[in-house]
Amino acid sequence: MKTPRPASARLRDAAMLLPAIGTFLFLPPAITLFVGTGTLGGVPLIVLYLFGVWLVLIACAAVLARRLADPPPATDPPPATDAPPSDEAPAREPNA
Amino acid sequence: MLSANVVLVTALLYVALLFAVAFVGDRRARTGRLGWLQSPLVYTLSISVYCTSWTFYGAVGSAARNGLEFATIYIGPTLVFVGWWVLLRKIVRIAHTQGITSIADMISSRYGKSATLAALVTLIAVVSTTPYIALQLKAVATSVQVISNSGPDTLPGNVDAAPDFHVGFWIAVGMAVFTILFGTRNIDAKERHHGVVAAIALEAVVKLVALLVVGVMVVFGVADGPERIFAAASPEILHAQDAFGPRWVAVTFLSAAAVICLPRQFQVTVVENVDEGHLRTAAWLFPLYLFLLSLFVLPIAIAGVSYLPAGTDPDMFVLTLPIWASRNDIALLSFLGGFSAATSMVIVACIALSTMISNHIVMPVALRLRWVSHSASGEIRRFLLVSRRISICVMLLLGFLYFRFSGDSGALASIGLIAFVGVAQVLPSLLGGLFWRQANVGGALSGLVAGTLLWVYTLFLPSFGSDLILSPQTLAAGPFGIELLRPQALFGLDNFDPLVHAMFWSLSVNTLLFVLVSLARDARPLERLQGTLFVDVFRTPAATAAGLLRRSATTDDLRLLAQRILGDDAAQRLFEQAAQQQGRAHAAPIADDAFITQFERTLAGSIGGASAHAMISQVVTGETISLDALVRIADETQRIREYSHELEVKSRELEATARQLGEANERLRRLDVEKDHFLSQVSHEVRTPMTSIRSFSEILLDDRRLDAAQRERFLRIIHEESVRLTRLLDSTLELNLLEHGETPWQQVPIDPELALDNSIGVCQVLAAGARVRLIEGERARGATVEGEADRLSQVFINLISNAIKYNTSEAPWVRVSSRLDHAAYEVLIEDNGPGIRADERELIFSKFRRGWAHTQTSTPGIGLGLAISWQIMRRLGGSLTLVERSGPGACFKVRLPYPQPVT
Repeated sequence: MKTPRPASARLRDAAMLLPAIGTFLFLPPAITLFVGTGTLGGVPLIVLYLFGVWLVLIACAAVLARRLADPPPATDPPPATDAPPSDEAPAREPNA
Repeated sequence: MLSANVVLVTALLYVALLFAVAFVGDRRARTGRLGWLQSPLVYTLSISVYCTSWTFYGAVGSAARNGLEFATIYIGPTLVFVGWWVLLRKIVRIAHTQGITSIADMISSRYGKSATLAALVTLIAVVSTTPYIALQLKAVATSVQVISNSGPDTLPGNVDAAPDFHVGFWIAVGMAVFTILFGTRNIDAKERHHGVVAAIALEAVVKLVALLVVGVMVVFGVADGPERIFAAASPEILHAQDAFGPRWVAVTFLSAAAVICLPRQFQVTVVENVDEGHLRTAAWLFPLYLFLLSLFVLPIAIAGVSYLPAGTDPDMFVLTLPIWASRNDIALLSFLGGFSAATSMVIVACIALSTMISNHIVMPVALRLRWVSHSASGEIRRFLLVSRRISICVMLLLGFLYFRFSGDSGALASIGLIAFVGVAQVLPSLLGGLFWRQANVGGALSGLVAGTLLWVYTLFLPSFGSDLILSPQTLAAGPFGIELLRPQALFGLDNFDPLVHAMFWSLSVNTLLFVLVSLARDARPLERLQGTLFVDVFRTPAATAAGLLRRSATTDDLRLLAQRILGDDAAQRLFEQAAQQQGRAHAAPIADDAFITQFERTLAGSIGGASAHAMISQVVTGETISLDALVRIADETQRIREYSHELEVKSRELEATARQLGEANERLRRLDVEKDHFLSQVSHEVRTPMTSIRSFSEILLDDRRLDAAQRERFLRIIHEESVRLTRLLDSTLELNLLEHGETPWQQVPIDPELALDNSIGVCQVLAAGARVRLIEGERARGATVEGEADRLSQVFINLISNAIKYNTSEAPWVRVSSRLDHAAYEVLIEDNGPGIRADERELIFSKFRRGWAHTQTSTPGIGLGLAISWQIMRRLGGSLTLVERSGPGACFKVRLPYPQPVT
């Protein structure tokens, strides 16, 4: 009975993780995996890897930026009463 | 082959074009036709001032020397922009709400509008930008020399002569004129320099196109496709084996820091940002720009190394390759690209720095020394504009002097990296200020001072080369011969690249002091207020923030102040607007907290947060910061966080409770059904004997003619039926007690074999009567279990007698055997009877189930025996199961565990 996270929260998490993933891929030791004498179409593998990861990051950022809507104003005050939100919970069942 | 005149005319025409574009841009902005000037594309292109001549010429030079390392300069910014959501978005939002004018203003505003901090950051920025500007002047001067010196036999680039300082000087003058004309039109730094931005955008396009054209020429004109290029050089040129060391990590980090902290980057990315949404585009478009710019760097470097004569300056490959290939048009375009890269950087850096110098150094001094008249209206505005123009000239002069005296020391890349480490000193204070409430001015100041001093000592001074400031002897042996203090091996940290060494010492000491002093010191109220507004910028509503600072002033005093700083017209507009917002048309606005805060913000946009606060403080009285309100805001955010967490926990609890309730309900329902079933079974069972008792007794009552024998027969039937009835009720009661009886049984150590022998003895008679062979199988003697001997016998007897009674085979037998395993004592009772049908196996131990209902025997049981036996075994701590096996007959297993040793 897990309530699915809203898509925007998922996108926000992805946007936060993207630079971390990029950092991981660009820094040793990950990048040293592709150091070698191998070539693909005459171009050294490490060059392809470097520019390939770069391009993928750009593509991901473009997709995320396009889909990431502005968050709702986070200044919404919390509900004044401490009543448990049980009234609303069933309404958000993912049946719709 | 290009003559000097052609180069000169082209350059002048290009400069004229830039002036025209800037003029048109400014004109359009003034008349309100912003259009494309405010597009995200132009915004992104203006961010590309990151790519200076250091990129344009230096990236290829770096690639020729160090292989892949050049890419780090662009990977760092890529990561920052791809991660815009984390950092840049927050910085831009804060800058919008606080009216931030520069990186120094940002830091100072965060730490309680400290004027000292603003001045310090400005100083760092000036010191680290000076060599950077020198670098641009040098690049342009050298490129002019290279392209106009060209001849068919003496390949240019290996010009050993000193750089042409005349060219450098006139370029500096030209840039000063442009920057003053278009960069200091108004004093409000937040009012965008649209003319400048338009020219910068054009230059960004020119440098990208130029580099791409040179790249395409090299890859597809000179060589034949990328594989030929890479085949032309040995793989060693990539330095792939040694590129990914500490220097790779360090430079990536530095470039990431620089793209945020460099004054010019902060200017174009944050201050000149009109719309936060533009970041969304820049997040991928700027990395794409960097990607395209880097794409051909390696091929150009390889081509330069492979085709050009040895000794050619790698920093000029972009220019010398087209000349070598006799493509003068491309050479000229490339020259313009480099020129664009250099000039755009210098222009933006000068605007950013002049704002910082005038706001954070000149203005506070002028206010203190009373250089500016306090009465004349617009006086401060004029003073500011003049001081900005002078600052621009001073910056360019400083840059030129550095260029003049450092001469040709160092390659382009190393000068740029020195500046990067310098501005990176701001990073700990900036990040700490954005995400850590406790960070305060003491920590920021001590960290910055220590970090900057270390940077100057370990990297900046040694960069001047021999015997200007630090003699080679000092470098090698340390000052006064103290080995421990060698600038490039501080405290014995040897064997490190000087850049990594300097970065390690300056940034780690900086961060450590920042954190420690911040922890040790309490923040002042204004610092706490600003800290909350910065850290919680996405959560604190502007309206709440306005009420935090309480002060009062007369409207007349404020009006006077506004006139002095902004001039009459602007002051008039500001006050009319405020009056309208307060709903007091044609009257003066009331100087309430909200108005004063808004007023201060407007001033801050012109003279910086620290100066604005200082000036407002002169006319307001009783400035108090409502600490309660501050704490409330902090609590509020905390509460929201806790609340959402609580909500999550609660909903999980609710889920669990609902599940438990559901299960309980299901169990109850099953019990209810069972109870109904049981009741109907009992009624049914009772009804049969009752019916016969009733009918026979009726016959006896009604029919007087019955003879004695008949009477006796009927009476016997009635008796038997009532005995049966009693047995049924007894069994039901017993089962009920077993199921629900709470009183524990007295469990004592017994010999189960004795009980089994007993039961077999009892059943011998029954077996003999039914002609069933009762076989004793293997027996395991000597076990001791805990239980009640009588109850155990009852189970055995029930099982054995069932096996006997319902055995319908030709040669019936029942075998009883027992065995011991490591944990329990087991008795098996087998027979060769009809067995239990597969569909009955599950239910055999429930009430009123006669496992042998399908057998035709004369003695029907009441169907409670097995249920009772099962319950007894459960109460004894053992089990009664039906063994699954093939073949005829059934096999029951009674299992009793050994008593647990008492511990």
